[in-house]
Amino acid sequence: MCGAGARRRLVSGRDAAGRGEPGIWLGIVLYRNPTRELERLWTSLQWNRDAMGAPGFRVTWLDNSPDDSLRDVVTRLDARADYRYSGQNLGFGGAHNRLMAEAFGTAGVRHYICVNPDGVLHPDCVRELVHEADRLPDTGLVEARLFPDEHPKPYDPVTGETPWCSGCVLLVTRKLHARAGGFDERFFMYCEDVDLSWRARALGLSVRVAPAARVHHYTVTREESPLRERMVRRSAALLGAKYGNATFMRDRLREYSALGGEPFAVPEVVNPGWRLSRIAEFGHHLEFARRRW
Amino acid sequence: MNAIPEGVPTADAGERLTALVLSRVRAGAVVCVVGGSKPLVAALCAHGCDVREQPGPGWTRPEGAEPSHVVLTGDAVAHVLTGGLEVLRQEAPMAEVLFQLRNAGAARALLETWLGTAPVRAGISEQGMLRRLSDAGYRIAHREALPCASRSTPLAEDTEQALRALLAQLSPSTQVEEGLYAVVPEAPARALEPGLLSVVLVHDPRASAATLDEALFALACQEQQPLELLLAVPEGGELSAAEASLERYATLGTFQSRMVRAPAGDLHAEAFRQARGQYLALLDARCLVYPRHYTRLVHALQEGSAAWAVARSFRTEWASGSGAMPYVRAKVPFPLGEQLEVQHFATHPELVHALVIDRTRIGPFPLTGVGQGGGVGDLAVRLGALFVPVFLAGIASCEVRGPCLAQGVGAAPVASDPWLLRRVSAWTGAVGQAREEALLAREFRHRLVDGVNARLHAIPWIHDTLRALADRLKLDRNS
Repeated sequence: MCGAGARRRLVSGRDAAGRGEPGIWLGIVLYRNPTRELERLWTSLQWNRDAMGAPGFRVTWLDNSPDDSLRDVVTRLDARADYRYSGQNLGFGGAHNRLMAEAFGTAGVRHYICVNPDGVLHPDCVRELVHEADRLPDTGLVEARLFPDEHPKPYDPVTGETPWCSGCVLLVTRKLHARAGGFDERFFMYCEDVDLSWRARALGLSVRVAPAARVHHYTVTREESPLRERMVRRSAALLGAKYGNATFMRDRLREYSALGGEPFAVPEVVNPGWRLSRIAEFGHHLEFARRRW
Repeated sequence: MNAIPEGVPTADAGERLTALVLSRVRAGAVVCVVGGSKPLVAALCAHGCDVREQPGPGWTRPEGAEPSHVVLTGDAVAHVLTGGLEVLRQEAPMAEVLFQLRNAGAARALLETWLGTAPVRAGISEQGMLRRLSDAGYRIAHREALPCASRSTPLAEDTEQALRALLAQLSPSTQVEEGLYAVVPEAPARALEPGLLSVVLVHDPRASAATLDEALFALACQEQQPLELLLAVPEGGELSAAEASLERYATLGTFQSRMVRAPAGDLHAEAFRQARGQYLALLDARCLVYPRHYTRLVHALQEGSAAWAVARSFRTEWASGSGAMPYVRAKVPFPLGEQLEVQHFATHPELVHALVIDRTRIGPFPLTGVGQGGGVGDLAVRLGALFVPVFLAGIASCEVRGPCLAQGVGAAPVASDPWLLRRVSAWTGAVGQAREEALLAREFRHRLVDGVNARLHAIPWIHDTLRALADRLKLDRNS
């Protein structure tokens, strides 16, 4: 093996023969997932290990479920799997923050990748994410391109720069973690990725899409869930408050209420400062960016 | 396949069969002639063949060496084709079979019988013969067809033409009056497997490996089960990348796959022949299917009686000259609207990649076109002409990707101009609906102008402009 692929393996930590500590950590947060879903994900992780020029990576599973019955499923897939049971539902951001803190507390780890358990990673996904992250020194976040129905938010076809990154499969660099910390845990689920992206950009870090890193993740025809819709509105309201947009916050709270959401302590609208204000984009409802189609 | 010019006298039929047989045997061949034909036997003997005569009409294995050729003549043709093919295939497994058939399913015969101007033509139809051959394990190696006479009934010319066209669309065999055939042994066709979806993905070797890989990745993650994937590649095409992708994605356990290799012109036909599924879908490397695309289509077919179902699709437009991966500039759903119109089949030939066909409901309808290299560019039009599909409106569930439309997304021109089988009321209903939508659009346009006019009344020059526009619209309506 020669060329860029071989070089990437060396800088990534553990090589194909399993020597050394992997420089890439994958964190998967579970919550009552179907067995078939985890089987598919696991198979796709194997593809990524076997891909030509792929970096070595470590996988950690953190289970937010009410019980640890998924332990059997995960260890059946991989007898040596690093499975942890959280004992409570930490939320998406909270769970990833714990894994991220551990990852970046380990010497040699350069990137942490959040992986949604309902995705199937294209065989080149991890390699291309890492390649894109290593391309520029100021990288903060790199997201995998959603597939087959790509997210309509824009990105620069040459540089990959995008207004915000989806947390579905999201690479977080050590530099970002050191400067911005992880997710804001007040967002129990949804919009924490938008928030982290805006904070990264405000710090002058680059937020990009890696088009060749694809993750099969399709939710358009997922059954309507009032709970999910309420959680999205609640998180969006918090985002509006955090970035000083009281109108956006009130509109989302109104929708939350119309969906039957329980009353909760309305977040305080704060002035985020000019750096964050110039980046925050509330003009596109829950898209947070103009749509390409 | 050759066509014998129309008008060739049937008196020459015996001579033509003799000529065909002589063209396919070599000196020393063991030829079994069933049914008795002295001139043919004499010609074969003169050709240096070892001839075994059987009086017929049934076939029995002759003593001595296994025949290399079996010629059916007279009553033996119908007798063997209708009831003795399996025995023949078993007892002379290597023999090429030659015969001449007067098509009992010829359009001319059917129309004359229907009008009462001729009795039912005895014997077997070419369509029936083809099916029996396929079931018994034969394929056509050579066919010379004599077409039906262009006029054979006292019906008005246009009417007869329309009836013949509809019959031809259902089964091209109906246009054959008489034929000469040489058939050779092959593996017998397998019965369609109920519930199985066969997806034929035709790979043009000029398409990028990355595009094909994405098409396969999307297929591996779709939800319809059971599914067999046939990757059809023209002979000589490079396959290593495609095989690697297939092998890798098969580990998800969502499909069984195999490769189909054939000359480019026969590729679709061969893939359809090998497909075992009751349900059939067709893709190429440009296509992406979403997870529930096929489950919705198959479910729609199972719930109703339609022969095929089609879903709304996206035309995904790539920007040119962007990064290493295609940049999606736009996704345009098609066809638009809640109703599928007949014109959509012609204006959106890519619909051929958004459909599922229930093969148990289309009879002998030919999936590949005639005279176009066996292609499927007009399949949606031809299907739509005869079978009313179920249309799954709503959100598009698949994509056809390519450069933007102005540069040609790859929509194949529709070559055929099929006749349409529909109730008159369906036509008048469609026309009425189109008129209603046009009126609604005009009303909406007027209300929009009125609304804007009311808001901007205080700004004189805008108001004047709007008034002028409204006046022009009124003139337009009154004209």
